Amino acid sequence: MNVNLHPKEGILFSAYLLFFVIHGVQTGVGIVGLPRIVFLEAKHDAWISVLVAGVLTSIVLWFIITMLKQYDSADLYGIHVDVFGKWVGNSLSIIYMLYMVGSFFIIFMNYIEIVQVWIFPNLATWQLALVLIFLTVYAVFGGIRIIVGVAFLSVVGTMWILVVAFVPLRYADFSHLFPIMNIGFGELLKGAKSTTLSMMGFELIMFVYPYVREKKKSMKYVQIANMYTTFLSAFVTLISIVFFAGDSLKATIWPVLSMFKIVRLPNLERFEFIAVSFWMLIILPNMCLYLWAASKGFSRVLKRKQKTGVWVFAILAFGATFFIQARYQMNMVTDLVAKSGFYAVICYPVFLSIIVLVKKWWTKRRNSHAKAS
Amino acid sequence: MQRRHKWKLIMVNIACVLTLCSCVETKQLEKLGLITAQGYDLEKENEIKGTVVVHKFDPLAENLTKVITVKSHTSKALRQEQNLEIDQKLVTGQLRCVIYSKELAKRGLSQLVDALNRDPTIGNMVYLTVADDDALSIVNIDQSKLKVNLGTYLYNLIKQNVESEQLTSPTLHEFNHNLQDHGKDPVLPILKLKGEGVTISGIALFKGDRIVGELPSNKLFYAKVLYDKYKSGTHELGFNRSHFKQIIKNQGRENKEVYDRLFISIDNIRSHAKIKLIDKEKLLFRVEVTLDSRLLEATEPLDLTSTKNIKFIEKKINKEMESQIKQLLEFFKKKQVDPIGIGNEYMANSREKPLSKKEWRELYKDAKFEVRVDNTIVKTGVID
Amino acid sequence: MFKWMSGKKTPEGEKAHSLQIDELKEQLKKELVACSDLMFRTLKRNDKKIVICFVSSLIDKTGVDDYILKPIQENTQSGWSVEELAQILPITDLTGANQLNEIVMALIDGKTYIYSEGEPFGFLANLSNTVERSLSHAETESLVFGPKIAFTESLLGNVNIIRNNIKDPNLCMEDLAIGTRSKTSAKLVYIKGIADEANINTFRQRVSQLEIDHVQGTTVLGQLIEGNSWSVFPQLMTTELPDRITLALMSGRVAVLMDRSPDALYGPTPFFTFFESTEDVYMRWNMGFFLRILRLVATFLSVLLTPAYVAVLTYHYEVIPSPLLVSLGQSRSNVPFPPVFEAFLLEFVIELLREAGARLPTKVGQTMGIVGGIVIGQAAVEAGFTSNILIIIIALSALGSFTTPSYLMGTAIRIIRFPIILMAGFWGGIGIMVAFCFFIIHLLKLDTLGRPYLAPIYPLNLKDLGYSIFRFPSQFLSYRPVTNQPEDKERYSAKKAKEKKDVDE
Repeated sequence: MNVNLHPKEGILFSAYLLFFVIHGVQTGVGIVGLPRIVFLEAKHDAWISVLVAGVLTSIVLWFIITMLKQYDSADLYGIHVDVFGKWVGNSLSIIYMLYMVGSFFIIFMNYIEIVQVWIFPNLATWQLALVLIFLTVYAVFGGIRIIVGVAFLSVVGTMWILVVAFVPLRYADFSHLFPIMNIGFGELLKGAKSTTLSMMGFELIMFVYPYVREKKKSMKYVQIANMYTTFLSAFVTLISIVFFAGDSLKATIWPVLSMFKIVRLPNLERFEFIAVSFWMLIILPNMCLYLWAASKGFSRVLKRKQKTGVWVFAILAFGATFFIQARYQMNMVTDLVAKSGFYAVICYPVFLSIIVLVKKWWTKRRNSHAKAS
Repeated sequence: MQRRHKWKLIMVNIACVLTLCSCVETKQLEKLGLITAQGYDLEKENEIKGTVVVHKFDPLAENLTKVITVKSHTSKALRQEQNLEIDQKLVTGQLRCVIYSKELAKRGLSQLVDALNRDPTIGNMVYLTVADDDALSIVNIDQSKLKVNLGTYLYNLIKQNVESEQLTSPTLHEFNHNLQDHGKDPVLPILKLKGEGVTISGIALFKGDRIVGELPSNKLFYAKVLYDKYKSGTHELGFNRSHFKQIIKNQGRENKEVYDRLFISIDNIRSHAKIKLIDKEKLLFRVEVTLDSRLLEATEPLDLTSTKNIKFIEKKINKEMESQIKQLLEFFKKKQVDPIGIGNEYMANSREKPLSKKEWRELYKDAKFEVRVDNTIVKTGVID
Repeated sequence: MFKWMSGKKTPEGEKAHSLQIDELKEQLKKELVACSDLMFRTLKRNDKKIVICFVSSLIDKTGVDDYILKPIQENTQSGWSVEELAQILPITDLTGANQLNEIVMALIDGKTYIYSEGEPFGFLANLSNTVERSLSHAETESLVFGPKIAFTESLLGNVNIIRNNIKDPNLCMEDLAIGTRSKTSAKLVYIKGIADEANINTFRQRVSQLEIDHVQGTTVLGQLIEGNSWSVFPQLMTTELPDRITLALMSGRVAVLMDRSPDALYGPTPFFTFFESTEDVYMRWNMGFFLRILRLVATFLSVLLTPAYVAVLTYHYEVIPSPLLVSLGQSRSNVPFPPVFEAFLLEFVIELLREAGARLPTKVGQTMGIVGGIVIGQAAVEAGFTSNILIIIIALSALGSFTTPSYLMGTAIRIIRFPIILMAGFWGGIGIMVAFCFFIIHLLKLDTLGRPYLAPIYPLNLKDLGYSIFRFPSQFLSYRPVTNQPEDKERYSAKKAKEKKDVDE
């Protein structure tokens, strides 16, 4: 397998679109429940916790991009082979693929759960799952250019929701925020850790990187995207803190949707019904990118057609929906993926990039030695 | 290859449509009995009596409402029972107003409110109210004269008063918020039958989820000033006439005195109330109220041409308001309720571990208040 | 003059015709099977024979009389050799020919063949007369404002109009023949130096590689050469307005004109092009801006209103605010069908009215509108078939779909409404969103001449938004639309335009 991937000129996309890809894939089902999860750990300083998480992910991103820059145009699959050799590298790649399929799975499953709780209590899980998977497959077959387009339109098309998020401020009680920084640093970090589910997604840069046209600019746009996501999450968390009383925020599973309940227009009430439907557009790029990146492994690692990979993973994910019956099972799986996500997204890339950097440094030194002698 | 693929997509499409045919439960508007108002009464130990106002659609009748009363233990079981009595499916998605009887409110509302919170079809902007007597009598008022159904009527009654700054907004969200907040207590309006209609007779003060006191409607203004922080409505202040002797205009003829006191009615354009913790040890709070108001009416012709006179009136009003607010705060303290959120203010300023509700109540007993009102009369209408 | 004739090898399938006039007649009669209007006129002088062959229905008879027969008969001095004939015939379009195939094709084309016996070749004189419609107003794309002239079925006439509109020596017209059997002549039109080479090549390649016996016109040609023929969305645009083509050419697009087809096909035309009208350009920019936004909003509502009605009334009764609740429920309460069925029924009626109106002559069509709109609409509500609110919604969405300047796109928008209504009936808001997501992905996947269909939204091109979705005043549009990748990027010098005068200067 080639370490570097050289796609055709026609399917490369401009670096600025990375902003939409990374931001689009970071915001998904995670952000709906984010305020509560962080609040459980970091109390009224949760929003600071989210900012801390943003800084941490930004550091991780720096590592990832620096690692990618060591190569001409490589993705994680290529780097694995380059660093660990064929066998170890490929098996690591397969583990990573499974993690991504897991993410794909929990994204749409969580969305379906939201739909079932808020709108259709007796909607069969597999039906909506089938339709969502079909949409994803349809998009993934169009290739990376289409998926990036979906991410772009999803981010642009849902930006107006941010405006709606200002409405709950009318009922805000800002005294909830004080005293600022009253909580231990440990809790703050714990809170930051619990944001993993809504911050993850940026690891996909390791797969889309070869498809970026101006690779030098990628660092800038990826960092901006991460900053924007962080800002958005912190903003949403902040609003939730001032909008809810502490105890009710602890009890509210999806605070963002609950906040939308109070939004009303002259010809429309109960905005959350629209928000839940619209959230499909927000999770669509997530599902597409995860499925695409996982199925890419089929052509890179297993030397099969990527389309086969898409079908295999789609059917796998669809089959798995039948095993989830109750809410606690769903929570278990989500926690599992979030936990493995923490290692796969935060720890592992940093570890890998350190290895890559050391290796590059080593070969450079050896080469210069060889030249000198 | 391309061709085969298209076929595959079409097959998937057809499969999707087929699976969709086993579609979800429909809730067609015209087949629903929309509950627009609910009333809860305490029937006896372990039993509540639920009354619902149901709006139905009928091609022949313009405004068809039906009142159903049943008894049960939980509010959802009530709905089951009620459903047996009607030809259309009862749904709560259009619920506008919930009325609890005072008896029930004295025992605690949190269970019933929790049921409202748990149900995703119920909105957050439902108004919660307390009936002065029993909820049934309010729900059962003669509806033939109402243009809209009772739920909407009560909703509009409260909404109108909230919007004209008479009342603090009693939505489900705010009730929840204040109930759960450690340093704040909820309030709800009290509805009372008056003739053939319903009137708001005051607000009920809650300690936790239990009603402990009432504030009559003439005191609402001060509660509103403190509570809402930004805007409050019209208020009438009474003064001893003799204090104003110097600025009452004598127009050459002896006005026959209608009142032996002087009343001044002012309207608030802007108000801003700030509660500050001054001394943490002594628990001394300073309440600063800044108002920009308009003079609407005075029962005597006042000479408003000179600045001095206006300043004089301002000062008088300030003093009156200060004493009223102080009284109100003491009243709250005595009742052990904190609808203004003094506790929140305290907790925001202390860097210790957040207090529980109980701990705050202990502290609240010793709280002291200092009130400062700064009222500016910015306009006196089109005449001097 | 006819140097190419000498020493030219005759390739297979091509042969010179017989030098004997009688034999020539026989040959021609054989080639043009059962052609009753093939006519011969033979002249004789001093044993020399001359024959004039033509298909009588295709030529201008007086022209043949005046410019062929008369000069030959009156001119008694000179002989009838090829050189001498070339001198005496007062015809501009005169070419030599002796290949049988060529002559047969030319005769079908309306040319006249003049052959003097014994000579190595004869003449093809163009005195054809095609039946043509005179120029008229545009029918499918009617305008309030701007030039009214429309293309006709005559290729020559259409080329004439375009040439007159753009007097630029760089305006290129490449000849193309479309259809393996019918060989319809067509022209690939573009402005060299503005149009992108890649666009021209794609267009030329797709048209010339087309292997089909006959193409019925530019609209069909568009369907045959577009990227995804499964889609309901047209990917290349046809128009009957010459000024539209002029605008397109000037902004770097490429067009194809076809003989016997009153529309011109042009591309690349991304999605939003179909919502542009030339009127936006002729109007003052702020009006144009408003109209363009109005059209997009109308389209959006046209697609979404009925599904939203179905979704809300079937599943999401919670979102209706109380003032609307009573009127909605009241009007629904005497309808015996579920909302999906009701909506389908009414949409169907509207489509029927539209279709019937289009098929009938104009005068009857108007009556149809009244009968359909008022009588059926009123009666349907009275009879309790539909709610009157749905009637308003359906009428609004029908109106919205008619605002689209392109008839094809308007139809596409009406059609995609049906699956969305169906989805709304199944899953309410979620269903609408599924359909919406599907269409987003679908639109992203489409291309027009290999260029992205959703340009300039995706890939985002902020500069071009002023050309497609919005309409900016022309001082901001110093460049040509970037999406077409024009070679000459500037319309005028932006620098010069920005020089500002001081007060009182």
